[in-house]
Amino acid sequence: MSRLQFSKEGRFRILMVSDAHWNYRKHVPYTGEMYRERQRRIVDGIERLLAWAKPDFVLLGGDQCLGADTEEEMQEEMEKLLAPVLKRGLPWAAVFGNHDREQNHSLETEQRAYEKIPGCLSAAGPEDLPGVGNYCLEVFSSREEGVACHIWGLDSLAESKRDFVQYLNLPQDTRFVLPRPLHMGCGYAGVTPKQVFWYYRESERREREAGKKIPAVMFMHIPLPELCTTVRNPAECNLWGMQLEKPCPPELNSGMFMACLQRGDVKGIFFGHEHSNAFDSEYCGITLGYDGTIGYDMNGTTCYMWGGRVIDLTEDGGFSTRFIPLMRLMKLEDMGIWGERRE
Amino acid sequence: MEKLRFSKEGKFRITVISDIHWNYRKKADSSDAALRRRQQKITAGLEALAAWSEPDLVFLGGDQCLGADSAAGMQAELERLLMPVLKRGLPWAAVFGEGDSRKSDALKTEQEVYARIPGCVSTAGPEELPGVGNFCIEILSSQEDTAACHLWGLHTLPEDDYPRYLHLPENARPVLPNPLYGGSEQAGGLTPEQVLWYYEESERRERKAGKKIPGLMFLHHPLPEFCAPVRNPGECWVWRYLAEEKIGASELNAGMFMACLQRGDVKGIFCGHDHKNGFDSRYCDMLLCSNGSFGIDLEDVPYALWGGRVIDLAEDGKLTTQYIPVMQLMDREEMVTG
Repeated sequence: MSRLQFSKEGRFRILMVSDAHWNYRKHVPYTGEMYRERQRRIVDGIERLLAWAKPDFVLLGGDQCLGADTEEEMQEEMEKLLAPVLKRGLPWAAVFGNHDREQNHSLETEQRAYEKIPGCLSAAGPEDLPGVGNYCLEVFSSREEGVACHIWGLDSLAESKRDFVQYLNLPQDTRFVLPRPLHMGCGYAGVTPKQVFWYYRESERREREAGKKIPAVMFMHIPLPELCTTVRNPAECNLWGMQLEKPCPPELNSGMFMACLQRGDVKGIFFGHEHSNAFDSEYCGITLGYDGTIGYDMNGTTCYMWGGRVIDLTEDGGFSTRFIPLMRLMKLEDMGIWGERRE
Repeated sequence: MEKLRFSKEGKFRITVISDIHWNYRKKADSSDAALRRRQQKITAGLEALAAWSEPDLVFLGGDQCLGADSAAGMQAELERLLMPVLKRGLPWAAVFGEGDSRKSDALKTEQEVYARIPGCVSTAGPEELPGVGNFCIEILSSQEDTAACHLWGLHTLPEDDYPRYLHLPENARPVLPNPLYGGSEQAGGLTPEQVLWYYEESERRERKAGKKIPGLMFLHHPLPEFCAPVRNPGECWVWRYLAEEKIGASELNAGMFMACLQRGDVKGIFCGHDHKNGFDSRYCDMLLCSNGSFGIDLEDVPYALWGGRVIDLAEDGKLTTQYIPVMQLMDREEMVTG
């Protein structure tokens, strides 16, 4: 397995790309040629982001939606999607999204397919935790042996009616979403208390082992409820970037944000899920940011949101991030049907 | 410390009183004589409630606000306040509120005073946890010496303690102009460490007992999830007495509600703090109850909200609760003369 390490200059760059929805068909009929053209555009988008950002590591933010049934086909589709990453021999990892669960296979199978592809660093994670893909990656220091940064990935599950009922062992008819909701009234699930406590204890253990707190960034697909605070208070939260839809966190808050605050290691938490949000914001010293979407030509999504997020870490614990719209890397006329002028 | 136990009939009754604010002086008349009259009313009310409800345990829900600096002074005030409880030899427990002290050190002294008074079953709790008064009290089965129910008490910290416990940056502002939950500057809450302590302690006790033990949880401040019933009365009200103020929950959510759901042992969460909220509600099959206030003559609080809460536990896990307005239990003359 490849090893993540800060450069000699003490830098490490992550590129996050989310919501590829590889097997998406916008409408019927969506002919084979249009389908292939869309996939070509996605790969081209990743290629341009990589060429511009030159990251050390790529993170897929969920909803890859490969649309294959067998492990072999999945591996094949994923290799097509990741072609520009694999060409460069870059290490990569992924978290799963809600739609990845709607495919004709289990996430365990998909994770196994991922692990056969060169450079894959994400793991299924502890058996006793809900979901697939709860892990902590280590970025080593440039100078000495030892870990300088952690990259946490968590599985934010899918639907509260299914996953919270199952993992919290609640009655089938539990109404999570009420007419006047606590957050935004979405039925999505999110990380559960068990995952929060796993992160908390694991982060403590690693601090003890290293003899120091290790700065970190965290990735999951579905946003945390605290995003509702930052969009309601954009000026106070230093919000920057496009916010064209409401955040859709789960109605139940498992306390992950506060656990990160108390641990004091996580500097930024990044989400995918919403195709029309690509901003970042700050709350209580933690950056909360959305990746846009790399999925090309999807309903309700515009070309502004097409892109990826760059996260720059420095070895002394510094951290910065920005969303890179593909508009910045190409001209309108090169954007295919997204760039077509409409009369 | 004395043991709590279900009766032979498998019953256990808790009477909760919250937000006494023992040393509160009304703006209109802040004289010592007026304070003594107010304190007499509180004691008379507690006498009436204790005589009527005949509880097995009395629970103080925070903001006792004894208003004494020395340990001896605190003990004297609390003994005066608890007179009807002590007279009956009843066990009692307490959680602290932000009005009791914003400093943990002062609360340690107060807890030591509490522990010296007969019948006190609440404890300071693990040293490494934030706050004072994080505990789990066992109610033993009527049949044998094993726990049949747990009473969890947790110290919801004043919000201005968060910078210390969460190591927040100096300029961090948890409460913003457009808040997510209660949005109150004074509202305190729990930290993840306390949630994790409850979770692991509850797991440990389940392993030890070989079964899940039903529990109740007592906090001074409401959890953010208390906003759900107030915003959705049609869907969540079990019984409404009065809910006249917005929920004073912390803007930061430590996830205690969801941790309780996941553990599946806590059947009801009881809070004080909001003097003008006295209600019973249900969200995700969890009973969420606000206790009103037992401190009569607090500014703006209607007399109708002067009361306590009776919680009836059955050994088979059944739970019922009722808010009891004190004025239904006594005549004006008793109130005035004490």
